[in-house]
Amino acid sequence: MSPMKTDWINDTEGLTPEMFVTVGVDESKDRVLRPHISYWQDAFRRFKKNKLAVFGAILLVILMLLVIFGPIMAKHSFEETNIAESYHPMDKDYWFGADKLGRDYFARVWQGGRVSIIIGVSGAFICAFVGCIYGGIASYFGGRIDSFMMRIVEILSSIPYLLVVILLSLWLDAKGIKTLLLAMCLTGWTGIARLVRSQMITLRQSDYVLAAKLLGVKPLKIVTSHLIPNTIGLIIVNITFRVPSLIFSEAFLSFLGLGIQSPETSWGALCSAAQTVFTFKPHLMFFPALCIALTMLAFTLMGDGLRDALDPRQRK
Amino acid sequence: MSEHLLEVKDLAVSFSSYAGKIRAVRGVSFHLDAGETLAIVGESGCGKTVTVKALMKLYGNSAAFIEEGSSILFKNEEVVTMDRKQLSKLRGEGIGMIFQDPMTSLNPTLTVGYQIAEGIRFHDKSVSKEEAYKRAAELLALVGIPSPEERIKQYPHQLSGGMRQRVMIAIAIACDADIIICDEPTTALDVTIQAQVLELLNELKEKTNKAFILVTHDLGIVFDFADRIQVMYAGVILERGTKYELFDEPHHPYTWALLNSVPSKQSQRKGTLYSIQGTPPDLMMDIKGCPFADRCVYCMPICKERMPEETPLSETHSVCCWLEHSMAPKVKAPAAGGEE
Amino acid sequence: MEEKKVLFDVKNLKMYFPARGGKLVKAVDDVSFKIYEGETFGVVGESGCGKTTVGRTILGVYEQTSGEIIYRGKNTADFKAEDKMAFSKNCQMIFQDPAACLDPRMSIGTIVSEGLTVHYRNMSKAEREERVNQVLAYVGLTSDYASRFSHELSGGQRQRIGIARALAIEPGFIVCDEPIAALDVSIQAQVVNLLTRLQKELGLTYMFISHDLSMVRHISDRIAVMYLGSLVELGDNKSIYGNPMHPYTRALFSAIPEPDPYHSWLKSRVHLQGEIPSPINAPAGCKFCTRCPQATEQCKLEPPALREIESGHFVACHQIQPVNA
Repeated sequence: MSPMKTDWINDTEGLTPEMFVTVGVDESKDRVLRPHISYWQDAFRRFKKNKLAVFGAILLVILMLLVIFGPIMAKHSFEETNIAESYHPMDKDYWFGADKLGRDYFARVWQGGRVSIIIGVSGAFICAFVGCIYGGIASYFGGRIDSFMMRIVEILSSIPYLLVVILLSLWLDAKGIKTLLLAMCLTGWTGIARLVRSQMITLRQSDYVLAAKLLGVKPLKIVTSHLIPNTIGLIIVNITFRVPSLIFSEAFLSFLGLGIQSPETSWGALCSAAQTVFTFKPHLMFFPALCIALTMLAFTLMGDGLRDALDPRQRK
Repeated sequence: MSEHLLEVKDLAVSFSSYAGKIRAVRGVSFHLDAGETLAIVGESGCGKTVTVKALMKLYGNSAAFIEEGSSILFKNEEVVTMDRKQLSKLRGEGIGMIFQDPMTSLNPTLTVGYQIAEGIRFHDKSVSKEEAYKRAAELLALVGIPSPEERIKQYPHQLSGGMRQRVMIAIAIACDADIIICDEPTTALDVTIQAQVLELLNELKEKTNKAFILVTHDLGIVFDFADRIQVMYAGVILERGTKYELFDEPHHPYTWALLNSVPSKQSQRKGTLYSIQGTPPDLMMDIKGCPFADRCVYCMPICKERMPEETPLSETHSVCCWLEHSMAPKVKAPAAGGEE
Repeated sequence: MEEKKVLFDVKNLKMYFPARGGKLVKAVDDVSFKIYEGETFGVVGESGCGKTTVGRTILGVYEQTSGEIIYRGKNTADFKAEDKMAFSKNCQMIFQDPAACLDPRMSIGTIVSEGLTVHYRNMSKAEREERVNQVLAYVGLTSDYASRFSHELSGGQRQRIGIARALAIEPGFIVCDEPIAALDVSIQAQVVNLLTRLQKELGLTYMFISHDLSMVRHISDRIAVMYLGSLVELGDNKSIYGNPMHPYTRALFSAIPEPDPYHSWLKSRVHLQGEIPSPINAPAGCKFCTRCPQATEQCKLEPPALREIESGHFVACHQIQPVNA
């Protein structure tokens, strides 16, 4: 053992007898807890810590503002054709130039953005809504009903959605936002239904739900007071991840000519139109493609941040 | 130079987390000689596991680091500055480790024989594969696993909890390490299995001249296994001594509380157990005085101001407490067994 | 002698769970016991012995495979809706993991008053708040805790909230399922002290399930020892700990670590060979026969019945004969 000062106990320098009065435990000390923050405050705090996620959110706000005000800011309407200005170069009149029919490309890009984002966001919400109800019902009843409902999900999710879109547009004889949404949501809700079901089943076996049952709380009350609040975070995260994938699907379908038809437009439709003139007018491809990429990036970064922020297992 | 097998001086380990630095171990010094067993006792979060993991610089991918000024001498070699190659030699040949949960520390996709043989061959390349497996079977026999020839072909999930812990012990002793660290070796086991594993460790202690470090929160198993005990709290050692010294004359109020909060055979049934108010301090904070001050019934104003120095009581026994000071009131340890 | 009122009379309780391959996990296999009002009934055993399942089954979490649970003279199988409500108001539970038993999205006040909204529907909001504060004070916490969330609390504080939630609706009986297993030593004593104090003040009956034998000895009036789904020994605290008869009980108790450097419990313990068999392939006769040093042919074939060896001390072993027989 290393040599130690043994005279320490007699060293009285700077010490007064008052310092050696037994005061015991200060009971109020027990009250000092971790800072008082609610679930959402805590989640927001964690989200703010994630710089990439905040960047994604800011990017998204900028894109949203442009999508909302872009078509208004432009000097020409997105539908207004002017053959004389065909392939007008980029200048202060036509900020992004003009397309083959002389339509203002700046206005068209943001008008297309509206369509893309509306499809992405509303599609994600519809999928989440249907998926939650379906998954919730399956997990609530359990047993045979549950396995029957899950088999339906498996069948639906095994159908390639491209096929569904083609068949639907043939059958409805219409190509547009509604057909696209219908086609994508027809099978798109299955993922979230599975997720909600498995989360609810896990929650149902948790000790706090058991405690509520033993307290005599009615099953429906357990669903509304325990199961749903504890699933909301998961659903929000799923929606944020769902939006970019829907935007991409829409772009892909429009690119193939199965989506939005002129004069209405979307980012995918713009890309599709631009590919024929890509070699000598690359900027017509560049702007919508960049918008798709940035939107997807923004949603994905934000989704990552939200997932980390809303996951209760990450709490300390 | 140090005459001890292991000498740790002013060891401080911290974690960086998104909320700030967590100072898990705050200046710990101790030593260990061949053939003796040291127990580090404390509650969860007191830094006992972090301390022993630092001895091998074993952190996995967590954000832990050893603070400057720390020194760990193993056979007079500085561990803190060791490079990866020296460390891999140290781990296994120098220091072996037994973890709390054998299920997560054994690879579920490999047979137990392979996992033992792998360790042997990693440290001694001259051993042939057959020989390593033979040694593995011998080791399994040594740790009391029946029909070892068959067991080496089995996977961890085919063994029970107690068996797995025996396999962990076999792996730890496979390379003939000088020090075996047992980190809560029986916490995950049932009482009857716990007794079997402890007995095995005791046997190994008697048969070999290895040094053991036992990390545990359970005072019950400490006295039967360790020679010396040190009590840790919030990253510092509050009291240390031989097991007899700590049992007969504990000096620190925290040690009193630990000893008396476990009901013993003699304690009054349904009586009030000796308990400590409050909860351990937040390691993110700076602790000015004694870390136990807030929960100590003998707390004095000085305790919250300054950390007491280590006071030797005998060759082996020392304590960090202001009650030892000449100006402090004389306090008697509470009687064991609780009060009515 | 004073006549003790029987709260629970459990007769031949069996609880089997289906396992893979059409096999059954016999978690609880033919268990009978009585719980008297005002006592602490300790249940000890190693992991997988079915002690938690017994506690949950008598509270009606699982529907038993067979057997009867008689609560205050009434079979729980014949319960009508109002009986069920009265039962859930009277019989509560405290959980092992204090982190998992509190909803992370609810404030402490909401958690504690959850039962009040069911059983005290006429309570005004102010009355409810007052009751929450009162219960928090019982468990040694101030009313500021009501607005907190569980992640802001330490393990010991969370466990007290779990106790407060059960106490809020004034139950008479509480199943404590390993209430201290997840807590640190210094916090364990706090919680056990709280439980004993509450029992004295409120006249509660406890079923105290634990693998911590020294805590069970400290807190219990009568103790049941379980092994692999069966009750092997049952009796009052003094006779079980002072004079354990079943070979398993003896081995189990001798393996309790004693913090004493002068007396090695490890050396003096009763040695047990082997490990607990899986409850899927439990032995046909006495469940303990594979590890019992005294096992005979009879033990392997015939399950022993729980017999009264001394007054109030029951043992299920073929090798032990009643004293007066």
